[in-house]
Amino acid sequence: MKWKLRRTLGIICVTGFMFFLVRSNASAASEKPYYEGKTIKIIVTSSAGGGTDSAARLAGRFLPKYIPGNPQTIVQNMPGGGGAVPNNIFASEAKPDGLTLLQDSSSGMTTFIRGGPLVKYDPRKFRAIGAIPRGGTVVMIRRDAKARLMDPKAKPIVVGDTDGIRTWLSMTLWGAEFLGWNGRWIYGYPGTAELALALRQGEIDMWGTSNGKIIKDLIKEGVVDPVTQQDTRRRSDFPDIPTFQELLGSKRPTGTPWQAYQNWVGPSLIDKVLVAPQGTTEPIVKILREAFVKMAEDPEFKSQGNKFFGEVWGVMPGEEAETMVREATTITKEVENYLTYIRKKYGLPLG
Amino acid sequence: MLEAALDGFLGILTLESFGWMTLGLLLGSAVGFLPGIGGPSTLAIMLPFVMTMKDPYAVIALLVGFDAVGNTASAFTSILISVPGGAGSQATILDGYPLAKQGQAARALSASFMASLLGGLIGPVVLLASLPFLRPLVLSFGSPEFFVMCLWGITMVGVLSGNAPIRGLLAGILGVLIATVGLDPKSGVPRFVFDQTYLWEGINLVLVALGMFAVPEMIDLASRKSTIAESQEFGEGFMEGIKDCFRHWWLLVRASAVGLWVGFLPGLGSSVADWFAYAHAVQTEKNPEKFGKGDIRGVIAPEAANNSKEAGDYIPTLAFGIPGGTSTALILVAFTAVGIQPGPDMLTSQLNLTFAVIWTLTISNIIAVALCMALARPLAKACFVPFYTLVPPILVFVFIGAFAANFSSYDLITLLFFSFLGFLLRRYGWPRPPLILGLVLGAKMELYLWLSVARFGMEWLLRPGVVALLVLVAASFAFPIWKERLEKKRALAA
Repeated sequence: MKWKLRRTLGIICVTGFMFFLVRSNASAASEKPYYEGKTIKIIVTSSAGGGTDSAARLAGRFLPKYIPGNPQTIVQNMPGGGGAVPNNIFASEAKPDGLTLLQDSSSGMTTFIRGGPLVKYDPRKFRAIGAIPRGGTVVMIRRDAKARLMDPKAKPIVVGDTDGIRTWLSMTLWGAEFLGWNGRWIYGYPGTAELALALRQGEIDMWGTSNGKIIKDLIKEGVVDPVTQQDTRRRSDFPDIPTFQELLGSKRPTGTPWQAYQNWVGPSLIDKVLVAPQGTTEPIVKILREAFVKMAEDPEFKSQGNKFFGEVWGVMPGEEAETMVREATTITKEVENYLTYIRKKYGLPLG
Repeated sequence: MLEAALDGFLGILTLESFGWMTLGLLLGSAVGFLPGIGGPSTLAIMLPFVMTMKDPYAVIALLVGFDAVGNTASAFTSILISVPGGAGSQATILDGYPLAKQGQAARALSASFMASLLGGLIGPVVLLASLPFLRPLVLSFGSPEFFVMCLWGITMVGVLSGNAPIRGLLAGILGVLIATVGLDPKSGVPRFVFDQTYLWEGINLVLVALGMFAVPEMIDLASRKSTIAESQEFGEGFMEGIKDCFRHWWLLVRASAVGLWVGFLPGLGSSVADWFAYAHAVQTEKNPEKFGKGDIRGVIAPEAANNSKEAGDYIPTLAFGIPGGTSTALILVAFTAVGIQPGPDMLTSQLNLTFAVIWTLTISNIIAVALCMALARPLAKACFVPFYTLVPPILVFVFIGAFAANFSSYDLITLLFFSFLGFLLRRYGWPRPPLILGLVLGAKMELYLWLSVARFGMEWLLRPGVVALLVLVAASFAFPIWKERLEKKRALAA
């Protein structure tokens, strides 16, 4: 009798245990993906229109397809202070729950490098999800101003920019410092479209952009001639324009001045970077990074990318972008001093 | 060109495109009607969906249809309850609301819709006529010229101040001062932010307008303890309003031209079109002392201008890809996604799409106005509803509108602050429109003056375009004074 009771109890326990095992497996299988029913907000560090905004909207449209749970996305523009405003707000207020991302451009990193009391964020602490580097910037000069570029007795040519932070400006400053370019700098234009108009009107003489269509239109209209381009290799759509390194030739500086140039230019190699806040857990970062890489293979994404960015652009995975951000934003005291010196010399804001 | 015009027309009139246009204009009208929730925020929500569409005609029909009609429906709340429905209908309050108080709401509404329709038709016609001149026109306006245009706007402060020009000037200066709050967009230097991240982006115009106009008028209504309409006569004003537009046809044409001009200049921003047109009317019309007390001309001018400026907005957008404002910037993103590339091609190989924009502006205006006309009489009866039924929901409506923009409680605090300021200004007889104008133009004036001086030193004053515009500004300043003296002389001689 006792033996029968023990056997019965044993069968009940084993059955109960197996039932528990099956149930917990089933509940794991029916556990919802983290992003199901949720919305991701993408904050963009620029106003609507333009490269950074386009990158954000493309991510907003295509990323959810490849995130398990297919969340909704909303895009919120937040320009200001060369990227300082949105970066500061993102660093202090965004929760590390994978539901708020920041679409930044190289300006956020360059503003950080420039430093100053306005900067209350550190891009090295953000978790990079992926980046869209576009072709290097091409610097153009109006045909009617070309003769004045190398003539120190002539009226200086006018270089125009939005906030005096753009990475391509480094080519013009180093051009003045080491190639004898006769220029002066003004900034404050609201954006790309206004600068292109100012160039057409002759209000500015020199400007740089990586937007292939704008460059081709301006050259075709006979308004400008290209001077140089930023990357270490020539763009496939502009193979005849020398790179800045080629232009410098033997006059290329060494030591701190060259290191400073590379620090200023560095962020543009990452270009449009999508980040999650500091403290976002590894599993969430992994989900987002994998989705970014899959998104890059989507044929519709590629076709839309061509419409917005022209022919020359690519995709950089999050791990690589994060390493590059760290390298680009780590500068020595000597480099920092040199950057301050050269900005002050040519009248650009110090931050 | 005729072939492109026909292509554009047929492209818009397919069942699919027409359906999208109807949806767009219904949404645009609803959004225009609701204060606080503006065109740009709705466009931002629509954008991810619109970017998946493939047909450029459908995208044009939906977005241009949406964008073109917001200013028509926003007149409802401006006239009936003194709540600015949108940035484009603020000036309409100045004479529209007094008309409602006189029991003539139906007349004001029908005049505003008729003016919107005619202004909205004149706009595309002038846009069409100026197609060959678009690029040279836009190219001739640089930073110095834009600065002088803004200066012209500021000289209107005097005109908008009624009998208190000094107070008006001070209110305008206060508006410019409020415009400096935030991070300087050029260099990021914080100004008057008192360490508050919220203030980094500056003070939102919508919150200031709601605080300046809506809340003080509701307080006034509640303290009068009556209805909006101070008399109980409804009046047969509906047809009268339509006739008024034809009676004042020359003012309507001029106001449409002002609106188109303001919309076309990429630097001015479209929220000043109604103010410029109103001020122009006050400066040039007979018996200007009637403005501000319920003069129908004070409704016709701004409403014609805020519709014609929509066509003007598209000139720099299509010719150069420079958006006239946030709405056109978002529309440009959608255009790029569907393969419409703004630039020289819009006047050559993509001329059919330019025509599609022009046709959509025209047709959507006609339909939206017909819709608003149908609703005018029933909604005008709101003026006879007692204050205790009207004031609470309107105040809730206003505060929800303010909160809905960013879901931020700081916005509500800002609204409360400006409501208090608006109440004080109204109570002590200080004009409020100059403050709004100063706020709108302040940031642009600073930017263009900065760029002009940085680029040209003081030589910017000698540019031919600047000299011509300064002469116009001086003339517009001097003309009312000269007219007043002439009338006094005539009165003495008689």
